[in-house]
Amino acid sequence: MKRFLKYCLQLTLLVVLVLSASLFFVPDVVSENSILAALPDKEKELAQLGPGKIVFVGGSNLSFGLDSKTISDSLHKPVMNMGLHAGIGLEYTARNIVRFAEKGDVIVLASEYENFYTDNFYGEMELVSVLFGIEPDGRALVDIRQWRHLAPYIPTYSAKKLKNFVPSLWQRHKQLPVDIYHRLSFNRYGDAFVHWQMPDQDYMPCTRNSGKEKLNPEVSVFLQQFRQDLVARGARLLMLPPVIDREAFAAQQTMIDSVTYMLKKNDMAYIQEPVNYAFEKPYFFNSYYHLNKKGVDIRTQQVIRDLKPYILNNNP
Amino acid sequence: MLFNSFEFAIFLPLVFLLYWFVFHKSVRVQNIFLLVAGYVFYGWWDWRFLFLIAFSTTLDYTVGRWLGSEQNARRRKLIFMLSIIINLGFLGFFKYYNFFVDNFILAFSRLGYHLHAGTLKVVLPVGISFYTFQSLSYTIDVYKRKMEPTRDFISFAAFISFFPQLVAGPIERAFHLLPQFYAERRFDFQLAVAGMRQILWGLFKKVVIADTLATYVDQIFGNYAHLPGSTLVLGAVYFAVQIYCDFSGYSSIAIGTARLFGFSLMTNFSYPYFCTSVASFWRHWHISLTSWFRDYVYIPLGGSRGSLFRTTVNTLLVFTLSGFWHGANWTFIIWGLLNGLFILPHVFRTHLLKQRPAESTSPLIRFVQMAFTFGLVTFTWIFFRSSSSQQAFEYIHGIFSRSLFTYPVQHGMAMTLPLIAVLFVVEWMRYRQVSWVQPPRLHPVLRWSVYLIMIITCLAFYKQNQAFIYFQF
Repeated sequence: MKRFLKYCLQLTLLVVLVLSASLFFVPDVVSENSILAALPDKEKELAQLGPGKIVFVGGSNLSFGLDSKTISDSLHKPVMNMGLHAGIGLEYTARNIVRFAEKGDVIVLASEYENFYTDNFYGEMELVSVLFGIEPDGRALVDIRQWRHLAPYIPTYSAKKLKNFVPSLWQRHKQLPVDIYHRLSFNRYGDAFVHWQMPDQDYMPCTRNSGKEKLNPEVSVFLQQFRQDLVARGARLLMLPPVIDREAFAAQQTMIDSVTYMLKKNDMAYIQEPVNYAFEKPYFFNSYYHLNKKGVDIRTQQVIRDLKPYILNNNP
Repeated sequence: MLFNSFEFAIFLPLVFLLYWFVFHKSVRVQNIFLLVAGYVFYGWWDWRFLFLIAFSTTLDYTVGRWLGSEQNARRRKLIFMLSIIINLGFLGFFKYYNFFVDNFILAFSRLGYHLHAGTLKVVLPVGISFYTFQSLSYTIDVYKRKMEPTRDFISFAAFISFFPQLVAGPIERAFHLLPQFYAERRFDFQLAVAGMRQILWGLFKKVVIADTLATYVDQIFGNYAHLPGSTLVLGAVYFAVQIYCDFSGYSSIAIGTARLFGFSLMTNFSYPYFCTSVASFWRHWHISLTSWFRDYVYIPLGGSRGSLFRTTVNTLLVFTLSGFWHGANWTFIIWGLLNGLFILPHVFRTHLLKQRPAESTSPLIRFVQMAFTFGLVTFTWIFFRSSSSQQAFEYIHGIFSRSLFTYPVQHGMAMTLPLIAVLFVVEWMRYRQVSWVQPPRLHPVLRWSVYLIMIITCLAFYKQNQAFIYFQF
């Protein structure tokens, strides 16, 4: 038995050693060109905008769903679309934005619904990629409680890094084309635009709520704090429903109602009814959260209409 | 709790250490501990299911004792029938209630009568078909006086809820596994090491191959109407490999885990895709279920001892039932029936020759036979994978079109084809028992490197919440 346990321990240590080495010393060859790598680029653009800007915060329903230039032209305000990927999680995305908030800014939070009722809130593999491959400084924004949720992703992330790194040794000079999920697929407003000229792709439908889902109780506490932090810096928070395809909306209806109710109860109601952001399937590109160009145009006009009263009249 | 989850990665070492270091004083204590571990493992899904397994255990234990003491043949039969009805009643209710109600209403609506009956939101308890069949095998064997009824309730309960094989088999026979719960168990280094290797290979098959293929299978089956025939063929082949790696991966992990605790489970897969006929395939695929149906349904019906007509009916009946066992859907019934039909040429030849046809010794002929058998089996998997029989027929219709001769839409071929190649090469070498690739023969540095690479690869391909296909049965 001792021999068996010794072997098991040795093998475990060996695996831990290799994974640790990979985590800290092996370059993340995939993430460094992926959309996640656009986060520092977007932050750089955002930092240059100055006060009085409109900042959209959320996941890929924003990055693949807005024409920020049109919004900027219509509302006469500088606009930055910080939406990237729901897997980064609402907690990190929101916390990260506070440091950029300035007097007169309007922060529009349009997070995917899953961020309110699944562990998506804390972030998933994408956040681990950001923290270890893209933005190591961001680790300071993550507390122990959040690390606990991220921990299961870390061994997988280290192993994936290694898996991607090994073939890159002999494909080092191979230039990857700028596809829809490339770092360079965003314009200077932060909108993904490469897919605007592409034909739509089929996508998996949304899983229907089973009835067992529960709102994450930490979300409402977190959002209250987030709003306070923004107000302390002279900025405002507006809650906007994410865009979603109508079938997915129906599949998630129970939880969407719960999210809407929770926000209302916390005096943070959506500025528009969620159903008005449930679009028909032909407006979607390759996911029930990603719009094609037609969808982007319609959603952009809807957003302008919804934001106008708050921006122009400076409504609270 | 899934085998491929972080919960299980903590649960297994914990149970292992407690089993050998804390609860090792006596077999009884070990069995009580295994029983508790089994209930924790099963209750992890839904604690309410525990009542069901506890009831099933108590019922079959009581029936076994009753059958053992009762001498009157008529009363014995009555007790036996009662047990069968209750066991199958539970299975029928949880698994087939809505299917029968829906089809009953549909049949009447075709006749012009519109009935309204409520279907229930019945939650299917994980692995109910597996432990019900395992429990039934005990009752049947006691009834047929093939084994003595147990007087040790703890051992019997631990046998039914033995966590490595509780939710997806192998469906063990009481006469094979139950006596192992009575015997003293000592830690065996070689057995444990072999178990660990089997767990690792099982995880590799599931996490690396099956789950990777699953992504493309879902895409292809989800969009079959828009894809060329060649891609649909690719999708069917992917699924054939996916289901093999998924299910045999589970069985490998189950058998390996049982070995860590000093138990030996039956082999469930024996290189089925290298078989040269569909009949042979079924002797090597899901062996525990096939042999269950053979021993408890096919042979009692008369097996192949009667006329050719009777043998044919028995064969088709058993395969249809086997299909129905998998799930309450016409797709499974058609899948079972098709397999039965594909076996019939073998049945006819055996009946006429009065012995099993000899296998060819020519490598080329054997290869052609293997490829043909793989093709037939893959064809049947289309029904198994489709969500409805209509989808399956449309899928097949899509295959047999002009687009069959076009180059398939990529769908991850650069990733999947090397994985499939690795699987078949490794399995072939194991099948042929190539000695230099047997782990004990490898140089320790090479052997440990292989382990390390396999573990890292499993982690690199790991996706959360990827359940095993057979859990739904």
